[in-house]
Amino acid sequence: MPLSLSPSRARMPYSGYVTLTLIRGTATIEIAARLAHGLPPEQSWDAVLELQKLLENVDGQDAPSLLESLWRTLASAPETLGPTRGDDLSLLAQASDPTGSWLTGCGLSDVEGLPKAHGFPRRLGIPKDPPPSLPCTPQDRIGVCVEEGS
Amino acid sequence: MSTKLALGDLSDLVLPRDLELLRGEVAHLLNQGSSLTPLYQALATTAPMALVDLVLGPKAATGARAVEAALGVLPALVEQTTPAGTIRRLGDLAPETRPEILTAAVQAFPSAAWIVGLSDKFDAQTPGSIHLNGTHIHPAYPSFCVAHAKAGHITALVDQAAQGRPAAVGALSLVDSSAAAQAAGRLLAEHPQMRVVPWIAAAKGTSAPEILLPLMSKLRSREAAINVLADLGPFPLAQARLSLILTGLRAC
Repeated sequence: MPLSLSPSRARMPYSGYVTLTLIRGTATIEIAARLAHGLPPEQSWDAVLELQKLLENVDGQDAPSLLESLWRTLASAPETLGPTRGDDLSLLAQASDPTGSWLTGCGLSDVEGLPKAHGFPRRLGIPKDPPPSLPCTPQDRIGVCVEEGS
Repeated sequence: MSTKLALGDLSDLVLPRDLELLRGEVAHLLNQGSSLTPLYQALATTAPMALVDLVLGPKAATGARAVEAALGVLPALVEQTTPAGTIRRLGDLAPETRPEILTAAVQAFPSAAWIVGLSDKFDAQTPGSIHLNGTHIHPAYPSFCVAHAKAGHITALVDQAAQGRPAAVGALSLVDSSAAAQAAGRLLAEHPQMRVVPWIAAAKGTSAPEILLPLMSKLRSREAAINVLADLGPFPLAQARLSLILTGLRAC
């Protein structure tokens, strides 16, 4: 399922927006993210390029380890997440391996799935928990980004 | 009396009773080739409603000189009426001076939404160019570009891009991919160091390659190509293609 974030209502609807697919052996992680979208496009894009460079470090042998690596990577370098250090980051990621797929995200008000055949979007809700092995505390970067149901 | 009025001395007038007298004086001054400015300035200060009747009313003086004098008291006119109505009326009174009228309107009301709509009629040669040239250092210039793009003022936006204004490329990217690629090519031909990818990506998101790929055939310098390539990380297909093109571009 290709991931996307809804375009913003701002003048430039995709300012600070990036998608990325990383393939690691039999596992894949797709990421759609937006950050620094309130800045002029050049500055937003600089933040995007930094984020992309950071996310290329995400690694793992299966979907859970990719998700864990994603959050570890983001938490490791908040200074690369734009001028707000990630406070305005919206991110949706889907990791897949031969055993299944998992969604995770932050800075999202909702998550919907669109069936392959024509149909209505299906509400998937908000990924409530980061991967169980994530070594995070409420003070970690991901904690401040999650906006469930906002 | 006539000389006094021409100099802006309204002390002998009783308004609105003497409005016709004033109208005659305006016609007289126009015939003589004399300036209307002192009279209009005096009316703007002491009798603004009379000024509105004289300058914009059904019997208003027509022609370029009358309208140019009216533009000198534009703030007083729009205080009594609506800015858009005033500008439209002045344009009807002297169609040949519509570009000058729009220029004055842009200076006075750079952010007004009606400026965009008026551009088709008042800036007929290249609609949008007067507004965009007059506001390119305004903080809301990117918004103005978007408004003109949505109004179809493509040529003006391509011209803006050629002057090194990437916001025009971003605005065109929202409405016309082909024109956006052309505009980006023009911009990079003149200003190879400027960045267009951030603007295209901000407008198109993951569809940015629709513009980036055609743009590559328009790149004429190695400097521009290297500059674009540095921003292409999130678009691997475009990045690979430009890398290939770069090997064929001679250093120049």
